[in-house]
Amino acid sequence: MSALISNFLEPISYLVYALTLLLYGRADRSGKIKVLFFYYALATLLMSYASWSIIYLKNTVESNNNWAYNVLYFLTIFFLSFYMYKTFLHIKSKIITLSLLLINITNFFLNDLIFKQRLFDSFVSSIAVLSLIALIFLYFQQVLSHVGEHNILLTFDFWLLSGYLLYFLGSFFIIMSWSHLSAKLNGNPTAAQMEQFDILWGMHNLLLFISALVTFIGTIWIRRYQRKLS
Amino acid sequence: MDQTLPKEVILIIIICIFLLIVGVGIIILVLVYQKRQLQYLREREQLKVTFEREILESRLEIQEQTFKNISQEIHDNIGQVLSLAKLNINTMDGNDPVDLQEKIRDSSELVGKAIRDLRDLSKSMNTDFVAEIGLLKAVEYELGLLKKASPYNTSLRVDGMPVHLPAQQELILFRIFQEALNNIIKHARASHIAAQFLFQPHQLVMKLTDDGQGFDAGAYLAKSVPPNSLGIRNMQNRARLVRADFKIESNMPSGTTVTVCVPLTAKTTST
Repeated sequence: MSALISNFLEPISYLVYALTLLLYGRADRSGKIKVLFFYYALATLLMSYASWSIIYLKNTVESNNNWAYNVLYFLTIFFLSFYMYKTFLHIKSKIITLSLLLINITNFFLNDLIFKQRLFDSFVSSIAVLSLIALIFLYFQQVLSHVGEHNILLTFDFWLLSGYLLYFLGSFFIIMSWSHLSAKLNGNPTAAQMEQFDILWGMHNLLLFISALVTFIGTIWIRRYQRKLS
Repeated sequence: MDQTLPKEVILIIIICIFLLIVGVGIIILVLVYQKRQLQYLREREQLKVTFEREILESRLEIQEQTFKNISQEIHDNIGQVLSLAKLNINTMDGNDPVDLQEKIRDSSELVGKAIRDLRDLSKSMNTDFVAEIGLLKAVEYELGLLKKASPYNTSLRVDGMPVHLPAQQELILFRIFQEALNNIIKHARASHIAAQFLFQPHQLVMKLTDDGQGFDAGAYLAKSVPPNSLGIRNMQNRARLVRADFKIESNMPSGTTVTVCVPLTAKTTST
């Protein structure tokens, strides 16, 4: 069970996200939903590879699946920034989104492509996570300053971004400290240490799964309400 | 094995759980705040609807009151004047040129008076006359009508620099004034009615005082307003609509004073 959580819950969570978007996309065919679905489909493939590679990779500095995670965080900030850009109403929020995206792209290119970071890059990833948390707060600020007649619980964006907040805020410390903890092991972890790492990554995966579930439940809720109306 | 690792792992897990709880808290806060905002917007909308309904009711009541005044005016004044003119015409004697001349002149004056009175009446037939002529003129006109058609002695005093309030606010205030005036006519047994408008920098104080028999206002207001006393309740409700303070003071047998204090906003204009 713990192996499932620490190794395979991640692609499952991304798959839940992809399926949720496919479900919601039947009612909302907007471009941003299609792009987000594409991202989750890509993330599911990437994380499936990362999960299966654990079985045959020795997880050394030369041979590991860390590149997949570094690429995933780049894709995450890129696609979610696009989604947020499309969601924001104010030009100021859009400019902040683009600025944060630019910072993250520069950060990724400098650290992961030019300096060829082979370990999981906590610095780049945590900056990406912080940027996304800031964008989520911007969205909540937008929601509260534009209160309309509609129920916020019937808004897909609210469920999606609430899920993101739980995941990104909850897993921020795991992502931030991962490089530091890996460096302590000096490349030769004991079985007990590996187990602790598994627990930590399992916690991360659990948070991701909770956030996917929140979005899924929200989508079901919205669709049920729409069906009642029609 | 490095002994510091488990402690760090536990610490990170605790921080993660704490941040997760913070995240849940933020979402709940957003939801609660949004719900309250929504409730506030709905209440504001409801208040707007009530305000519009009251405005409409006020218009209808003013119209009704105006028709009553017109009917009374036609019966008591114009009717009498025209009857007198008719009597003059009927009693004209062609053989007495001096008397004929006098009767023609009298009839002409009477018809002229009737025309003037009709012109005054036609002004008040317009239901938007409060908006057109302003609150002070409307009050002055109303007191003038009362003075002419009844034994009441009326007076109007204006202190300070008069300003125009928004049309709907003036309509509501005029309706409160009419209601208070009606109460005096119906119950007070007064001989003098005094209206006073005091324009202060931040508020307008409208007072209507009579020297009638009064009533025990303290005891009356201590109880909830009885359902049959719709007049006072209407005045209170309408004052609330324009964010005005409504006060009624009375002591038996020294008359009654109704005071309405309306805050003046930037929308007011000097006359």
